[in-house]
Amino acid sequence: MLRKRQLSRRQFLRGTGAGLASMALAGAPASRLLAQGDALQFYGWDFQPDTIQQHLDNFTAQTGIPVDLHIIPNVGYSTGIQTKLLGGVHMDVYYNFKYNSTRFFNAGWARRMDDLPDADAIMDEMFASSVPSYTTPDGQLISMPYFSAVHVLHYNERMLSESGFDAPPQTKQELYDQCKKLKEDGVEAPYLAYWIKEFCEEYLQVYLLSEGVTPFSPEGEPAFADDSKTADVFEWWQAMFQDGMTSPTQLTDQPGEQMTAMQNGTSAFYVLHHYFLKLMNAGGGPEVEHLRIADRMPGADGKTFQMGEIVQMSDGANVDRSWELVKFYTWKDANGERSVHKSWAAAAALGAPYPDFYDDPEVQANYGDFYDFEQIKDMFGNNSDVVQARNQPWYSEFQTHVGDEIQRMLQGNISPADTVSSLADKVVELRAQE
Amino acid sequence: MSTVRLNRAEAQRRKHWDRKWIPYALMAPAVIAIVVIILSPLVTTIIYSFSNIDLIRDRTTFIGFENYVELFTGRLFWKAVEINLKFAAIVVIVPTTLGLFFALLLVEEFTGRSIGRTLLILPWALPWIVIGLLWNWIVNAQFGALNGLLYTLGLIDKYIPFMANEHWALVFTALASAWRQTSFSAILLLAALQTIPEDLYDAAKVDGAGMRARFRYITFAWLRPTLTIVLLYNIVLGFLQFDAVWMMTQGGPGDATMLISVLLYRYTFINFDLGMGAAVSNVLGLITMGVGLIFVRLIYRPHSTYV
Repeated sequence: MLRKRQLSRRQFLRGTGAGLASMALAGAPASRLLAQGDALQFYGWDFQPDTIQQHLDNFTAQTGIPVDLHIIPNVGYSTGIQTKLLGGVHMDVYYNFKYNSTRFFNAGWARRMDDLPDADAIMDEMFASSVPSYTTPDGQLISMPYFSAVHVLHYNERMLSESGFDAPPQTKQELYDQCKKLKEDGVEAPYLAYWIKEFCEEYLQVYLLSEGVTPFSPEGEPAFADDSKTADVFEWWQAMFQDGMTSPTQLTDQPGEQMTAMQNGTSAFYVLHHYFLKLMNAGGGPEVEHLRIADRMPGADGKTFQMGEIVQMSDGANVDRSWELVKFYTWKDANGERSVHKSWAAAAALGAPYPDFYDDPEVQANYGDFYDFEQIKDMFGNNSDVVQARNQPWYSEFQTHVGDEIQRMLQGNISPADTVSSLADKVVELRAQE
Repeated sequence: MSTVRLNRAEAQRRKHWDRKWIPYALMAPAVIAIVVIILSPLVTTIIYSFSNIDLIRDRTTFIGFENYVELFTGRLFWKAVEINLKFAAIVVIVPTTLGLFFALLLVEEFTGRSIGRTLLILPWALPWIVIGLLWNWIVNAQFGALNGLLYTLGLIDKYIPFMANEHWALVFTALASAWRQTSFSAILLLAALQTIPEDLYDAAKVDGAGMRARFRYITFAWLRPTLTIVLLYNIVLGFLQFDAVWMMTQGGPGDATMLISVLLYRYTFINFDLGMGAAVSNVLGLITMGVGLIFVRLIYRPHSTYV
């Protein structure tokens, strides 16, 4: 009797096989349903995933539309998301990097949004300077703002004052001179530049714009190559690096190390996104209370570069619901509040390309009293530009080339003039391949 | 009667036929797995390397050797080969030598041996990304542990920005890789050392063999197959290491740590140029295989005394 009840190996395998088969069959319609979009599929990278989930829960509570969140690590996000899309994974709404926006649009993975309700109103509400970074050259809206930021010159007011300067530098030469004096006065590496390879390109835009150089023509041609001020910028960078105004490890240092240098007072100037002031204040340190943001970037024109990352949505049966989610996440919630952007302001002083955002007392409280809001608003609205060429499909390859060439130039392995030619040639080559 | 004989012959033929196919049937799952997991990607990579692949437009164009020509005539490839050879030399020599040293040390009986063995495993238990981050802090120019140690010992009077120097950057990215690899090499060699029969040493002593002779003819001879595996693994890592280097330098400063694997990553996952990526991948595979084979031929002797 007992023997009969025992399961033979063959029976076990047969049973397991049947079980797995029935599970697979039962699972198939469910996964198909999911792909059809019962719940919207939202993909993002891993900056505060709990906060993202909270936003999505709020959206569901306001609209009744369920959303599934999928997180992909920030490092490798671009690769991960493209691999999934190529493999046929359905995404309704997703974070993206700006340099992917046109490529995704051309591939049919992202949909235009200017034909959807409220799109015109949204664009009207934005800083005029911000709009081109979300559109194609012919004006189609293909992405929306996850966050925005402007590059600024952070400086240590106490150090400058003790070295005899009553204001931050207005030109490149002044910046060099102030660094030289600060170094003589004992500041180890007065100037911090985030010159790691993947970031050199963003720096390039900051300094070209500050000198009044047009980086690219509307068609994406390398206009920077026709302006002699581009080589001047490179010569100045080279001098700053080679004359020891920066730390010699700038080519591999990460922002964490750079923030520490500002917080501890081994450096006095730092050019990076405006939200780093909040991060430095949150981190503490003996010099934090003396850190300020300059009204303008040093340079003939004083403008700076406006950047940010984006949200895109796909086409298909879920368009209406996806658009509701995009609007909630990148514009206003059902109550007319910019609740998502406000929470990012609280989390890390991230910006949004809407002027009224900076007038909101809640945003100001979230940022911290070390920010001058008129100044930040002025930078976004009047004193910064986006570079639309960065949306182009060829741009990511150009970025890697810029990193290589700038580091070679800083080390003195290639002249500033040759660097300009090399960068321009690369743009021409890449555009020809499109 | 004849019908019965015929049926029996038929049955035997069938039995024979069935038996003939049994080995193939048994091998089939493994062969299918090899074809799907190894052969198919390999063939695909070779085909890709002769193609221009536009993933977005789903368009693949056969372009012959163009990717290889571009690779071999470009500025970065030969430099990457040179850098990678130096990097691999460190990643092969340091872990193999230190691994052998630690294995020989930890096979002996002494107080604290178990602590030593536990510590030995720690680097191996860390992911490569963490190794990269950790070594970045160790060699940091402002508050790195290495600078602190050298300063405390009075060997330097000022902190050294190691990662600003092209040579040091290469050395320290290689040492970060070697650090974890030493742990792995030592574990393998220690396991092999523990299998050497004690009576071999006793017999050698009776025969008058000195310490050096015992090491050479017993220990080293016994370790030879394991050493071959350790060397091979270190060679493969020396050419395929990516994570720790990417975390520490992204190939910089300048081109100082531009390994072939970094180049491969850039072509494939940043530029999304799968054709070039496949070409680099094939060349990297050939280099790794070539160097690995040379070492195997030099070290491994299938008919050695104890193996």
